[in-house]
Amino acid sequence: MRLDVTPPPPSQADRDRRMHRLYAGVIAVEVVVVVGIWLFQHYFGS
Amino acid sequence: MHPLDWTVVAVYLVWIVWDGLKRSKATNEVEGYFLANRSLPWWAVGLSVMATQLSAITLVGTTGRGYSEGLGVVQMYLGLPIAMVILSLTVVPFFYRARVFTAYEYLERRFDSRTRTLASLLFLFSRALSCGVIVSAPAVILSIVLGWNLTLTILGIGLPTVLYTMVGGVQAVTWTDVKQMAVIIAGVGAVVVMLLLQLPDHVSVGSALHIAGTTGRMQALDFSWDPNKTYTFWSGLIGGLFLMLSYFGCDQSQVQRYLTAKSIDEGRQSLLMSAYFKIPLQFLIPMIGVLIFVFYLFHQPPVLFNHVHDAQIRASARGAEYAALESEFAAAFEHRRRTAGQLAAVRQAQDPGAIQVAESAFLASDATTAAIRGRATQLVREVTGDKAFGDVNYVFPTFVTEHMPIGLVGLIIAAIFAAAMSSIAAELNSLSTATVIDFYRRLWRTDESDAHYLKVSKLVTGFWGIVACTVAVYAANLGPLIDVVNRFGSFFYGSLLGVFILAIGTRRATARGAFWGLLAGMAAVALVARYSSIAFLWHNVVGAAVVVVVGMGVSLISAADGQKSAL
Repeated sequence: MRLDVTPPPPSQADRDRRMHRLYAGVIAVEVVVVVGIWLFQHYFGS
Repeated sequence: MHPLDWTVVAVYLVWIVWDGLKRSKATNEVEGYFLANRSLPWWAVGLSVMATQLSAITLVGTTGRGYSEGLGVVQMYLGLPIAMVILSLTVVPFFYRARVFTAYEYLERRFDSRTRTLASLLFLFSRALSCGVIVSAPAVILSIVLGWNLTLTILGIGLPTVLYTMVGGVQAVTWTDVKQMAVIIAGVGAVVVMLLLQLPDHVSVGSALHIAGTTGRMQALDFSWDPNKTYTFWSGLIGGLFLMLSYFGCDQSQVQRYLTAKSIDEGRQSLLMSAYFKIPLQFLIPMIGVLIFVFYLFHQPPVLFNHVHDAQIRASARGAEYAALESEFAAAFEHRRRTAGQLAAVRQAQDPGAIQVAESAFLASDATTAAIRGRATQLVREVTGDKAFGDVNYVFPTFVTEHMPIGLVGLIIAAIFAAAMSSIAAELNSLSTATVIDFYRRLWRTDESDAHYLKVSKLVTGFWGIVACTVAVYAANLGPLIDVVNRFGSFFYGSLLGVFILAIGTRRATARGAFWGLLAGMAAVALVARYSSIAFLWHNVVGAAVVVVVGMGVSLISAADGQKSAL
């Protein structure tokens, strides 16, 4: 017997969770980038 | 330019035009032509969004700004990631579910045809002019640096773009944008690598950045609250947020990008790509300018990077004065080169006292060099009568043509072409969409076949291409026109955002409120721009706020009047 291994399509709730993770990632990356730029300017600017 | 560089530019043009033209096969109806039947993957749309925003003016002008002022310009983009999250949560699902072709189509559904017509007309007028400037600005610079004929350069950038955009529609625009973005990244990467390789043996990358930092060029973040400063952390975060909300949320040239995505989530992800990568990219571009500044500390730069003005001054009655300035500049450069070398050496020795002395000596010699360049610039202004003359936009192309190896010069010229063409193509496509959907199909020929509208759409794309090239030829000779176009854009952006806030944010706003709010917002920005020195990023906040306040005020008054007459 051959098993169907195709995963079911993600539900709306799964898709929403994924989008929320992406939004949180954007904010986290922005904070990291701004802090990184500040450290960069602090190190090389003085 | 070497024949190999010409070959690289020619191969790039042929590749892009061929790639764009072959997309016409999948474009046989209006929805396919303008929205790719809403079938494109998020990563292609995301790269297209980034390529559309990154014009040749950004590539050439921002590196020049990095050379002269440093990294501060990156602050303009600080509001972008937050704007992308807000747009993904609000307008992307809104527009997508409304099945609209243009952002302005929604305004008629929510308000009335008058508001849609005004918004779409403002878009057509400002974008047609700015499209001309986007063609003109790099063409002027390339024609001067490379000695090309200006009109032919404009046509060299404009005609291939018009051709593939006209034939292939939005599919051609998006898929060529993907390739153009790759060419831009390759060009930018090549310049960075070459700049690092060309540092003198005794100067490490760290020392080079420290030397640039001594002059204040590493000052990327400025936390002051001065509203007259163009780029501060707060103007970028707040003013930039409003600018990006209006550009990506209300400007058809960007809205149309994510309307082509396969689904709402793919449209959202396409915007989030910019949210993740735009700030690092916009940090890298002025950094190239900073590295070019370091490069010219150790290699003799020209007094003026604009060769045409240089030749003009030599041939003028004040040629001898200029020659004396050149000798003075050469001596000042030698002194600065020595002091920069000493600073690099003492930094490696890590002697704080010696570093302080070497920094002072270097800064004094850098100020002398800058003062001589300032006098040369003033001389140009007096001889040519061009009071706004400044030559920072010529720094990057001059460095590329004079100091990059054969082959890579062609790659970077191709990258400048790619940056210009990707922006122009998206604008032509969106101008055609707004013309056909908001005016032709709605007002003039309301009941024609899809084939008819498709044919007209292609012709209208060609028409806007001709307009853009014509504006470009005139814009090249009318410097202040560029300022007018940019200023007009800033009047329009914040105010249009205000109208969309009224449309989406509250049910109480009426058509009359939106219409008068839009006019009041633009008038307010015009007054602020005319009678204050508030930086342009804040204009978007002013425009949006005035539209919302006036729009709500008029809406509430007109609603109260309506209730009275009903009684």
